[in-house]
Amino acid sequence: MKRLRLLFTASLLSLAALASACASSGGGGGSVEPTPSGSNIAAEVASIDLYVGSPQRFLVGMLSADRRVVTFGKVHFAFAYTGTAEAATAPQPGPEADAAYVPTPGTPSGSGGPRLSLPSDARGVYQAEGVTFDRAGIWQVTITADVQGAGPQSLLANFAVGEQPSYPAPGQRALPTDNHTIHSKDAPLGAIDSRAETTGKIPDPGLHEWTIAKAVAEGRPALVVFATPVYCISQFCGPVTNAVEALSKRYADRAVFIHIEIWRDYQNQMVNKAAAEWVYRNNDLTEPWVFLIGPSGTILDRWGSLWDPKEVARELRQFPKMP
Amino acid sequence: MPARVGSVALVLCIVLGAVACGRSKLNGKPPPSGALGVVTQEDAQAAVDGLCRMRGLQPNQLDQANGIFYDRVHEELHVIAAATEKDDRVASANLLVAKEQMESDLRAKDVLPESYGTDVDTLTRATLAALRAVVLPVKGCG
Repeated sequence: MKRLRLLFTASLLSLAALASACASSGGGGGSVEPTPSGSNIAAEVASIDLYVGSPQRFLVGMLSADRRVVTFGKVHFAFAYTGTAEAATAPQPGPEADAAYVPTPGTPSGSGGPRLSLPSDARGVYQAEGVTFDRAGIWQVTITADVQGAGPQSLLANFAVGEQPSYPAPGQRALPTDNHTIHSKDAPLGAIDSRAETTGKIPDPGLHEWTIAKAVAEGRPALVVFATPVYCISQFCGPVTNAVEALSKRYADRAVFIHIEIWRDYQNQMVNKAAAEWVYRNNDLTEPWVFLIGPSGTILDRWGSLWDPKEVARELRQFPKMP
Repeated sequence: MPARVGSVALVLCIVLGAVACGRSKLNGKPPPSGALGVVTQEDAQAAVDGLCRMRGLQPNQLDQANGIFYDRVHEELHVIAAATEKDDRVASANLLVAKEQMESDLRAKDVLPESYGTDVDTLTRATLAALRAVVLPVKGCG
C-alpha cells in the first residue's frame, strides 16, 4: 500500500486526446450532427515504453479539430531518427510499416478507407506490428493517409525510444505478485475493482480468483490486465477490462485471467501494491496494460492502451488446453 | 520528460482546437487545467448543456442519449475530472463515479434503464460540484 504521486506519461496524455473512448456505446449516431468545419487533423503516438532492438507494436491516434476521430482502413507509417534530447540531428530514415485500424472494444471495425467518425459511431487507433528501432533517442513518425472527406494527409509526431523497457516486458520473468482477490480479507471491494464502488459488488468475480504468484507457481498461463475502470484517466480502461472478461469466458481452458485494480483509495491517492509493482516506474503510473505470462513464468507479450482482442485470442489459442 | 509533455500539450491544443488553449482568463486568473488540458467555460457549459439535453430524453431514446453523451459530454468530463483532482479529489472522484454509472446506463440493449433520470441528475450535480471546486461558474439546467 503506497501513497504515490502520479505523473501521467505523454502517451497517456495523447490517448486522452482521443475523444470518448471510455466505454462501448450503443452507437447509432444519436442526434448530434458532425460539425462541417475544416479537417485539421493532429496525430499523437499512443504507444507506451518503446525501446531498442525488439519488434514492437506502434500505435497512433488521430483526431480532427472538430473532435472527430480518424477511423477504419489503413494508414502508412515512416519512421526517422532525429537524435537525442541533447543533440538533435537531421532526420535519418528508419523502418516503414502499414498500420491497421484497431477499434476500441465494443465499437465497429468498419470497412473501406480511413474516414472521420463521430466518437459515438467509432473510435480507435492505428497499429503497425513488428516495428524495430535500432537506436535510443527521439524518433519521428510520418503518417500518411487518404482520409475520406479530408483528403490526403501527411502528419508528424515525435516520440522517445529508450535503451531498455521501463515496465515489465516480453522475455522477462513475471513478478510473482500477490495481488488482491475476492478472497482477500484486507481489501475493500473498491480496491479489487473500482466498479464495486458504484454497484457494491464485483462485476467480474472470475477475474479476481487468482494471484499472479499462484499462476506462476502452478505453471498456468495468465492474461493480466492492470486497469481502473472507474478512475481511468486514459479513457480506455473500461472497455479494455470488459474485453479481457470476454476473453476469459472463451478461453478459460487455456489460461487464468486476472484484473488488477490500480487504486486502493483513489481519493487519498493510494495505489494498490500489486499495480505499483508492475505499472509504476520513475514517478510514472501508466494504465491500462495487459500482460500475457507463459506457463514457464516468462512474459510472452504485452499491450498498452488499446489492442485487438482477436490478436490476444490468437496467442491464447497457442496454449494447450488445461486439465 | 518535460519536453515531451510540453510537445504533447501543444498537440492537444491543436487536436482539441483553439477553444481549449491559451485564451479566456477568468477574472484575470488562468482557467483550470489538469493532465488532460484546460477547462474552458465554453466547453464546460457545453458539457452541462449536453447533460441537460439528456435529461429530457424518453426511455426509447437510447441512441440519442449515446450520441449526446459520447459526442458532446464525455471527453469534457474527463478533462474536468483531471483538472479537479488537484484541488478537490473527492469532487473528482464523485464525478468519475457518476460518469461510470452513466456509461453503464448507456450500455443498455434497447431502452434507457429506470435509473437513467436519477443518474443524469447525479452526474449533472457532480459536474457542477467539480466546476465549483475549480471556481468555474456555469449555468445549470434551470
